[in-house]
Amino acid sequence: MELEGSFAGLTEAGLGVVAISYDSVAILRSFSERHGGIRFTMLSDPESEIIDAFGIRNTDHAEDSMGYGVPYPGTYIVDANGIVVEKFFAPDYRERFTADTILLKTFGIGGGTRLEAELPQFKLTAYPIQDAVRRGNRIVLVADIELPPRMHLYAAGSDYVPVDLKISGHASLSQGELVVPEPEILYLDVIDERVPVYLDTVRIQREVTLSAEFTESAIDIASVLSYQTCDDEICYVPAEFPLNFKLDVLPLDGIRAPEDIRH
Amino acid sequence: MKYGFQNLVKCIVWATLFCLASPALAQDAGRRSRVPANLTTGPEIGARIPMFAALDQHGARRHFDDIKGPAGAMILFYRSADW
Repeated sequence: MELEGSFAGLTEAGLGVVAISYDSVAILRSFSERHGGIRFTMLSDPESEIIDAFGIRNTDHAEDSMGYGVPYPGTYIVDANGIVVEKFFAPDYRERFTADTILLKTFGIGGGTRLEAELPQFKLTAYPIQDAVRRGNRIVLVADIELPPRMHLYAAGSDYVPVDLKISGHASLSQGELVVPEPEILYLDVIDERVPVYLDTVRIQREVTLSAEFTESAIDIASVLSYQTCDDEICYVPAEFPLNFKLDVLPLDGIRAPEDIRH
Repeated sequence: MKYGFQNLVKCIVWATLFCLASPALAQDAGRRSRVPANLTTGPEIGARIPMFAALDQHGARRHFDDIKGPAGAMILFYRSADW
């Protein structure tokens, strides 16, 4: 299970981990044993009481169907007082943010194999949030940019080319949101203009979902970082830098619990 | 001159491109929420979750307070460990 692979990172972040479903204790025990002993807490909510207390029951399932009582799949990050810090829900149960992605989005930590490049105008470190994914996973590709003093990188909302990280067309990948920080507003006295820019360091994230129908054991994600930079003397022409990420695609667990304890 | 005629032309070109692209940018802004609009997603950010306790995979009764770490918890709701 994907969450088990992220357990160390979650624990390091100071988080307890609990996964809640309407499964019986017998089903959870069977699952845990089959995976060599799941370390995070799996809670059994057979009457969907916790699911209802949260108000997230998926009411599309008829009472006589196997899906009756299941929740909308989603993840909360709460603080030690139980206050919601972040939450992540997806429309398709097969496509959800991975725990590693949630760790990055909430705490800014983690990441897979780093690609490092010294570009003429800045230092770039790029990585997928994890090196191995499962089909249906929503992950992020990250580009950390370190600008030298007096250099700025354009953000969206100016007449210059804003920084962007786009994946190239791939039938099994869908491109999600571009996540960028709030820019700073820089006053350019030479042209009496205020422009949104990034200075020092900036993290660019592109969300990507791997199709639930994907069948290969690895995927190459081709992407391009586009940007325009200026310093206080030179305005450089817009540029692009290709970034290619190779990810392993792990098989899904298709094995069910023993027949006598199934739903 | 650092910001001469060529730059002015470049600015006009980019301004035109930006205007053409602005409906798409507005759509992007509308999609910024990580939560699809048609789902019921429970307690909002800043709200307190309902406290809960239930049996775990070992048959032991566990409460949120036993599970949480010093920074809190990741609480994941999923369909089933069986199907």
